[in-house]
Amino acid sequence: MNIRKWALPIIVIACFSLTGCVGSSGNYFLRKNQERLELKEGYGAMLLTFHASGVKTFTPYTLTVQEINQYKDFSKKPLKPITVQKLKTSGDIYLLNTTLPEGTYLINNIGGGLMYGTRFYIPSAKVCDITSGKVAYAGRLEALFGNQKFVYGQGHTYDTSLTVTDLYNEDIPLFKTEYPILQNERIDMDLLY
Amino acid sequence: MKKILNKIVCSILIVSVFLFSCPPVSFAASSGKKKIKITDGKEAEEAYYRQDYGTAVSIFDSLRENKDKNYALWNNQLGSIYLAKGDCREATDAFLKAHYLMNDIAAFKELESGAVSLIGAEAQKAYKGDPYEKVFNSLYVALLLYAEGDLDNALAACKNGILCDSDVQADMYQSDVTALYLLASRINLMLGNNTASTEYYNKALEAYCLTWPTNRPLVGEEQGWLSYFKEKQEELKKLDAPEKKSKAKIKKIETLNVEIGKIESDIKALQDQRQNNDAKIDPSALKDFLDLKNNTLLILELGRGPLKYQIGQYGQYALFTNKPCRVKRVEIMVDGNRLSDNKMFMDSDVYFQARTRGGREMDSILKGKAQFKQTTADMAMGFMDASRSIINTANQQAAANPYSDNSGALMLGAGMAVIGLVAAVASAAANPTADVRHWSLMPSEILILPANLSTGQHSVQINCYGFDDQIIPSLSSTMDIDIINDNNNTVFKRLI
Repeated sequence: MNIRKWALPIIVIACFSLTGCVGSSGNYFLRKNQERLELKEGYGAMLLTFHASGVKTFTPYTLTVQEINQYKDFSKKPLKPITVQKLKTSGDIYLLNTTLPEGTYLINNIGGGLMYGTRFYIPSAKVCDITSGKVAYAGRLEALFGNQKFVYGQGHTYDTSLTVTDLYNEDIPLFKTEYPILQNERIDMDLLY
Repeated sequence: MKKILNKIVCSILIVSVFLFSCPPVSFAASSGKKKIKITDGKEAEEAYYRQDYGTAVSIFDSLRENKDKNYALWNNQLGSIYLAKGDCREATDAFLKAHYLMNDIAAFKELESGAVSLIGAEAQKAYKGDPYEKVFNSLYVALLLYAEGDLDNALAACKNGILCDSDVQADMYQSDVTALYLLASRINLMLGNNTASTEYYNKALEAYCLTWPTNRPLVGEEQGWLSYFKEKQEELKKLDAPEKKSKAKIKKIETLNVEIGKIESDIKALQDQRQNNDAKIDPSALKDFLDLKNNTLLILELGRGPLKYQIGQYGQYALFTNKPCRVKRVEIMVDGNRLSDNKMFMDSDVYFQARTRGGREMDSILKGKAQFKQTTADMAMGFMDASRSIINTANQQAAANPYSDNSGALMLGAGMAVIGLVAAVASAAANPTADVRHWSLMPSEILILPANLSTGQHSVQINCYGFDDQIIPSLSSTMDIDIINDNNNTVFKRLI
């Protein structure tokens, strides 16, 4: 065996493994015109809608989640930004969906863009439960932007508050219209709290 | 060169094999079986909520075999599982094991000293539970010993729970777990101690009013003002010393006196409001406990208990939350007949106890109130807030974009924290990660219904109604119970 021939690929693979670059996966669950739902073993899915008031154009891009698990060391529960599939419907309601391994998660913040493309993070302390093999509706997240204020070191920012409302009967038809694959799918309710 | 290269490749391969192939060996339980690690606790919890009690028991049982610093935690979790399984004997055994350790000050003492040092983590110490966990462990032990007819020890457990519950800052928050007082009152009555029974009943009534939903926010606020009142009085005492007073000092004393007068009237207003509420509370559900013709206590455990988790960059803050229970009311039918009025003792709200015991909510209320009323600009608090906000933002940026440079913001935030952090939470700075071990299989509500049932078999139907007043089928169930004696039957039912 010519060890020199294999050395470089092995080193490259080992380096990638050590830095955690291998194995990262997206959190997309629903796609337009998809033929079947794909839920990985041990994973569950969460559907939620988002609406912002006060500032008209906040577009959510990511949810930053952190696992809640008393049996795990804090250092092993890093903040994890997950890209949420979003779809804007009439009335500025965004349909968000994501898939995560079974567990309980703290939604630390909702990242998105304000008008003119400014990035903004809405702090959150909402918790969600993900159950393996289940698709669950987590509610309507309503973000209220208060007056603009100046915070030393941060510049201009906004006071924000988040509330969760159960609008299952209103939101699930929106999802089913946009994603026909959900038509015959059982969607449980597991609201954020 | 070739040799060196070979050595490097071999080393990388060996390290890779160790890092990615070997299962972690820490916390491995008994040999011969599947190695159970502490992280498997989550799997056990999930199994419990799927009602796969066998899996949940086997995991926690293996962890218990380690007899480690979490021994009381594993026993509490096991107690809850056995109770849900209907195995009261095993549940008693597990809860008692936890009970002894949770109330043993000397146990695991060597770990405690490490945890309070600057370099020790809080989770390094042995789990002995927060005050609310001790209270509910005592309640379960008392109920289970009562069911076994061991009334003296059941009474001792009640007293222990009451004592744990009183272990907080201000006088107003002496034990308010009504169920413990009621059980103590009932047991005393059964033992023929009528005077003690009446005393406990009066305490139960007091606690019942104190924790009545409309009174809870008032009590919290009152507690805050009382503490602030005390603080201001101390301040006045220092200024009022007999030496010659400067003009500024006299002015300050006058201002303080006005402020104290205002606080007193605020406290009085809250107390009046509370008394008005008390008059509207119907205590008849409590009286059923003292009717010894009611030979059975039906105990329903509803929902999921408080969830304790860490937040902050270093996980330095421990918070509680809970999943709201979907049940608004419960109806119980025995052999097809609705139990008389279903007067149920419904205020053993575990989440409320968790937040108000151990100085969490109360601490924040007290501190919040003090800040709120300060007339001078409180720079420390301002700096703390700004610092927290900056660090949070930097965290968020780092989380959303690992490549963004937020070190400046973090440094600035940390710097401001140092300025603002006068003496507050100094321990968190050195070894910040908060201990979030908690008895997570506890219910969110414990409902107790005293009932008079004849000896023999009965069919009990439990209908849980949601907030839309519709039956929740997944939570409603029917079970057969066997009433074996005329005085101390207990029936537990967990509705998840």
